[in-house]
Amino acid sequence: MKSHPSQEQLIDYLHGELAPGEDAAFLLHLEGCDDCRGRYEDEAHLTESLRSFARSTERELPAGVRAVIWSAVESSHRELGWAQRLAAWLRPAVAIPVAATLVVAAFVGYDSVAHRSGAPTIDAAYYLDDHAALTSAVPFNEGNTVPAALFTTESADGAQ
Amino acid sequence: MAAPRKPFDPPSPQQTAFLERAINEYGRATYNYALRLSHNEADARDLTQEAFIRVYRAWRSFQPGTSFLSWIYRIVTNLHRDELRRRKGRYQEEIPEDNAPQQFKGARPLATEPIEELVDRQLSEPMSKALAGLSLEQRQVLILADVEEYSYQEIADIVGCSIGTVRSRLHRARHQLRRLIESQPKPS
Repeated sequence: MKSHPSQEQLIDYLHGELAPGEDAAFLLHLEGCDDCRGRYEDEAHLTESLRSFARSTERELPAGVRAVIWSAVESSHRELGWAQRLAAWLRPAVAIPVAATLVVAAFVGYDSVAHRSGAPTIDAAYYLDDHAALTSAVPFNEGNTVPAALFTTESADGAQ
Repeated sequence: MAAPRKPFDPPSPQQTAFLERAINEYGRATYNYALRLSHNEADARDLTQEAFIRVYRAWRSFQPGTSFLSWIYRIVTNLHRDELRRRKGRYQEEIPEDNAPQQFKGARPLATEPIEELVDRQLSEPMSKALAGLSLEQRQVLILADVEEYSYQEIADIVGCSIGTVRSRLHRARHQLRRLIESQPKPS
């Protein structure tokens, strides 16, 4: 290593995160460079301060924590009654037929509604014209509305 | 590998034994990790309790041969992050702009039990104050790298980010920590 290592490289070296070749070159450089050895020792000192602080503030697990964990575990099993029933309903053997029935019911319901609203209708004017033709006193009067098909049939009969 | 356990299976003796052993062997470490992350006794208790309850529910997903501590640290890290997000949404307006410690007006609060006294005393130490001044992400990485001595790869797995992110967070955290320690008044 010809140039001085960066601060980032120093930190990576301290944490053993340099590649093997780089690590060896770094060690060689440290042995011959007082400046870099001083920087390295500063970083190592910071790590050691952190560790000693962590050791001095280390605590035992409070007894109450253990009790709360076991209590939560026990209460979760008390809730198994209804939970297991729900889980049983969600099993494929039950859930698939139920889902299929719902799909069929939904389809049939939609189909009947759709046909009801969109059913073909006959214009009311047709019934009025038909009624006028049937009740007319003078069937072939020009003022009467007579279906064209009927008129054609009558004409053909008269010609014979 | 065993199949994942169904959520509503009745408890087995193995499951109970697994939890018992996990608490005995790793309860203390988990609690101390939660305490270092949260800087708060009550939060550390809650985080530890919730983490072990989750371990109990998902005990089948633990792979023998892997590090249990890494697994539970990951759970604690995620729980803590989620809790802070929830609180941020709830109490955002109450956070002082300068992020300085809040001064109690009038009477001292009721927290005078020995444990709170201990926390207060620790917070008066330069290192503790400096750690509290770091961002959550910086504190996570610093504790895992320098106190727990995890590799960058292990930290990336616990925190849920890339190795590059771990590296840059650690570099910034150390720089910031040094700056915060040096900025505090020296004891006469």
